Amino acid sequence: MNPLLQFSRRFLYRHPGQLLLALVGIAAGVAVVTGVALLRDVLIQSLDLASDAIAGRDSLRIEHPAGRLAESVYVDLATRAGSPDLVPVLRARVRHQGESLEILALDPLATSTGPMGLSGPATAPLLGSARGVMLSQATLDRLQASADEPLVVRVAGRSATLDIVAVLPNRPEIDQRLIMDLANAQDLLNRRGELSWIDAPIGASAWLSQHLPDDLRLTSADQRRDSAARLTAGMRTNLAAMSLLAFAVGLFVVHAVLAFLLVQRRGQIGMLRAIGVTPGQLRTVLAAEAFVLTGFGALLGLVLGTVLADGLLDLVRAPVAEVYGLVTAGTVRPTLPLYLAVWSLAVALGLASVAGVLRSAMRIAPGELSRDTDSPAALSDRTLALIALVLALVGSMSLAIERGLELALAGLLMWLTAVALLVPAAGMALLAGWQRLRPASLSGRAVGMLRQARTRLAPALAALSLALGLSVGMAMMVLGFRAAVDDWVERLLRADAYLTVSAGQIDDDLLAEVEAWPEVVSISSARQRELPDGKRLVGFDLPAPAWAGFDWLAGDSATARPDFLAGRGALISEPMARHGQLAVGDSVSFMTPGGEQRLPVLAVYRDYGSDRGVIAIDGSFYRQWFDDRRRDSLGLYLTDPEASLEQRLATLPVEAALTTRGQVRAQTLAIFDRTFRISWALALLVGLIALVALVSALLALGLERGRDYATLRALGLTRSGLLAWVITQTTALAAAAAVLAIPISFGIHATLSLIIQPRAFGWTVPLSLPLTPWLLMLPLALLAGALAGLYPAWSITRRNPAPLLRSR
Amino acid sequence: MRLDLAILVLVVTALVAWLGWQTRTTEPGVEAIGLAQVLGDAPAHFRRVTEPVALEFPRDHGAHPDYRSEWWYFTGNFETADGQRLGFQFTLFRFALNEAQTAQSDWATDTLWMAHLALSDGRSRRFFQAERFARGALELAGATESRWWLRDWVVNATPSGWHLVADGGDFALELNLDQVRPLVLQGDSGYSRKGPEPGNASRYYSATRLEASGRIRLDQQWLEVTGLAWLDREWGSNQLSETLAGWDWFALHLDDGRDLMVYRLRDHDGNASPWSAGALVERDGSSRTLQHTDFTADALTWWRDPDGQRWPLSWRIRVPDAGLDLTTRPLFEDQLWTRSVRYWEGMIDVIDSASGQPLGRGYTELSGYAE
Repeated sequence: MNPLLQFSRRFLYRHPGQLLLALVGIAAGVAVVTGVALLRDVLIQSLDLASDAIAGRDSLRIEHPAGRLAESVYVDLATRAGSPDLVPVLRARVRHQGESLEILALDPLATSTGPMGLSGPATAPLLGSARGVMLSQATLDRLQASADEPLVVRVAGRSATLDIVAVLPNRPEIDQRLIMDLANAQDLLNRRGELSWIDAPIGASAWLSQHLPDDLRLTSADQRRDSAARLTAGMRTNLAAMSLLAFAVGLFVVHAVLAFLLVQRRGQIGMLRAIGVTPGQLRTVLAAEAFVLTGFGALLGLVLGTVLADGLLDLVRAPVAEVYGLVTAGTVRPTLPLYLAVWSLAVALGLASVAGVLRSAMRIAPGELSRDTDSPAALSDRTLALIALVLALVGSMSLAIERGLELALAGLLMWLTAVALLVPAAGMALLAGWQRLRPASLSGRAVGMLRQARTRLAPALAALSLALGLSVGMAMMVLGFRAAVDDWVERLLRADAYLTVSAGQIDDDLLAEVEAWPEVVSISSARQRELPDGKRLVGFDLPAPAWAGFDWLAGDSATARPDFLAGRGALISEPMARHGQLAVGDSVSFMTPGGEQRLPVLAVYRDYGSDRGVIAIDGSFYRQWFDDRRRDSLGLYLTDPEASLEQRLATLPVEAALTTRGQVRAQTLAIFDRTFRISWALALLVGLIALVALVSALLALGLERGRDYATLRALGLTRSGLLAWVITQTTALAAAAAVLAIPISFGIHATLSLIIQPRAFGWTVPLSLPLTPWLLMLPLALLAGALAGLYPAWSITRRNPAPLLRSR
Repeated sequence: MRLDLAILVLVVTALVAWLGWQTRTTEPGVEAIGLAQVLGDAPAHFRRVTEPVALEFPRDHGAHPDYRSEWWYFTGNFETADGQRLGFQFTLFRFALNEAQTAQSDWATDTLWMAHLALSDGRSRRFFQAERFARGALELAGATESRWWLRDWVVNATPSGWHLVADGGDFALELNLDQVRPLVLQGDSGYSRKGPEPGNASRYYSATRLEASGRIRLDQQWLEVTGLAWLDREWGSNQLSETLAGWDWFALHLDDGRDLMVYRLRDHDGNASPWSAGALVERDGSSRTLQHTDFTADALTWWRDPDGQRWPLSWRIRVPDAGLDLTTRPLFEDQLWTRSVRYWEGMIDVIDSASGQPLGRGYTELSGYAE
């Protein structure tokens, strides 16, 4: 066997801890990137999956701009000469014990191949059972339901009992979906005569473009993916940024470990050079070593990331359904190109991160056996500062350019890189300060020793600072945002109680009955409609107190009100204004069954309810234009806010419920908290990887400085004294990182709140300064630092000092 | 070293395999239907065919929803002006659901309709097939006295016969099918027994000779064609007894002007059932029913399909009383239906068993071999 390879292998075998840390570092970084990338795909495909399942990949969809179409459209198209296989679909969202599901009702006989593998008489069970549904095994498992028992769901505000007639093989396209026959579903949903859309195979576009009635439109799978991408852009970018950061920290670990492995072998390398091994041969062996390590670690990362992605998906599924109305697949759908791309990127960046280390190995002179001091940093502080300055400048410019989320994120990343470059010097300065304060103490000496190992510690220190800063900055942003949402809801909710009915919709008769209650002074109402382009249109009936609940960001609310009530204009939410670059006086348009309506913008109001934007029009005009007299909910303004309406409720002909202002507020905040669970999870992952970085750096330091530690032992430092020494070092490092994380976190908080949020979601969040994250972070960081010192300390104190002292 | 290298390779292989497994995509398999099963086992509320009744036309061209299953079955051989041979099949199947849907929706139905459209190109030896389903609601499919259709695949009655229009995507047909002989009522006045139990029978009539002309679209080109076609009409509930595995059916247009139809019902051992039967139609349109003792049909050569299933494609058919000793040969082998029902239905040549002289053309249907 090649003696050089033998040299490499024996060395790694002697340092399994280091090997493991390197693998964990790269694997963890790659896992987070993979997990988030897979999650991203699920979000983008969520609008498309249903049609994929029905009419095959890349299928077309026939829609009416108003969001629903008459079944006669299907019959007319499907019976025309040369008609392709079209599938009529009716969709409805349902819930089962907190899980969001979708009823996907279709005519299973409509295509020749049979949607979802159902075909001909095989569909008989679906047709034969009036409440029959089919679902995938994975969905059944997730619902913790049994195929033999009825499935109780909430649909359109009421309870319905469904029968599972078949369990289908697992496919992402039908995850979270209940397949039902169209006839049975129209009955169940009380939507006879109506379809949500018609699916068509990809090959049908030519025929359809000739035969499609003018009021219908055809959307391609790409357009639907674009819609889903736009809908979830904010959330996805947030995730992508976090994953890249996790990856960067992972690279720090790889760099630290490989650099250390090399330093450990300085003597051996010098020896090899002396006996005639060329720099080229050495480079090959060391590069191969790095390749195997990163390649294998990245492979582990892909596996971990795939597992992680399903966990992350569990965290986002509920908020994505609540906030965006998207039913996502229950599991991620990895593809070979995605795996290959992530793996290649990881290996390439891993190798690039150790390129400097390899170069320094090539510079080891034949016969050079060891070194006494830390090798000089590759770049001087001044150069680093200069690079950081340039990065910070370019980053600032990217942030300053109005609009463009990607640009802003790139700017943030540049800022973070600049900070990462400056953190080691700043951290060392902090440690120097400590040393100056207590020069003679054990802790002062221990810290002094750290400062001599700056090159070794720099990556870990930077990684830890950034990870802490990022976690805390995210936390500050989330808490600040939460407070803003809370204020907004508080202000908006002016009614004393809100009335909803189990049937889901309130008709005129019911409204009249409630209006007649003597306790009721006035009533506000809302009717919401999802437009096909993802926008929401709301028809509001707003008495004066309800109007006063709006937080106006532009426009004169006093003059806007009469115009609004007279149908002379619309209100738009802040995200709508930002996405559409709309200001007061511009106009907005939307499709109604009677054609397009175009209205001037009267005012812009604060809204955190929809990041796609809302157009609000007066309820009476909504009812007229959409021929829809129903309301989703009523806000009741009472003579006495404490009045009990329970007895009145009992007199209503339908099952109705009253929700207090406090309950609505609690529900809103609960949804908010669910939405940000994934951010917490990712911040935690980044923090954990940073800890791995810290442990690996300290372990490297401990091994590298073995002789120094041995000297300390020889000078009379006990084992426990040495243990305290090492733990002091790790705690001091963590403390320095934590102190530096404070300004970093504030910068991240401010950037996210003031720049990223408006660009990603369209809303602004007033800047606040929640201090809880800092107060939590400091003790946690110190504790983590102390804990991270345990293993290196154990490994250092365990060693016999005598051979180390003699080794020179 | 070798050992740890081997372990590393093994672990890497395992990881890569796991990742590969994650990327698999599952395409839904289409469930095959056993026709013999569909044609037996009907619930008791469907009417049974138990005795001869007088058929009445055009009323009986339309659907008979009281019975479990029914079909309208065209097959035919064509030729273009430059001698290109083409064959076609168009079948409309009606299956009643065991229980009708109770929903108030317009989509609620008590019937499934299935249509099969196939084209055989003798020149390029290609077989095209298209299958469709529809529910018996919203006029998506149906059969009246004068119109049989599934969406835009339509057969309309004409003064002289029928007009068929159907587009299968890769191919399309527009055919005039003119009836030149009276309808043949199979069995006893259209009462065709298929087994020993009461109800193991169907109503069965045929238009054995239809002069066909029209055009066929193939490879984006319309070809003018002429030829002879055949229509079979059949309905019943529970017509096949459980002892039967399938059937071999032959519809032959002989050059001497006679039409011959025989079907050989098979038990699970492959033996001919005594309920096998047929009909011989003379040039003047007169016909006589053939009992199983009147003819023999023996497989000569077998073809193995890509799935390894064997199909008897060439047959020797003897009707001694009529002086017929025929051999049938497929124009090409792969005329196999591979959609939700797996059966062989294809254009054949008929030759004299002794001399090898051509005697006519026809269609063969082989069912129950792949179930």
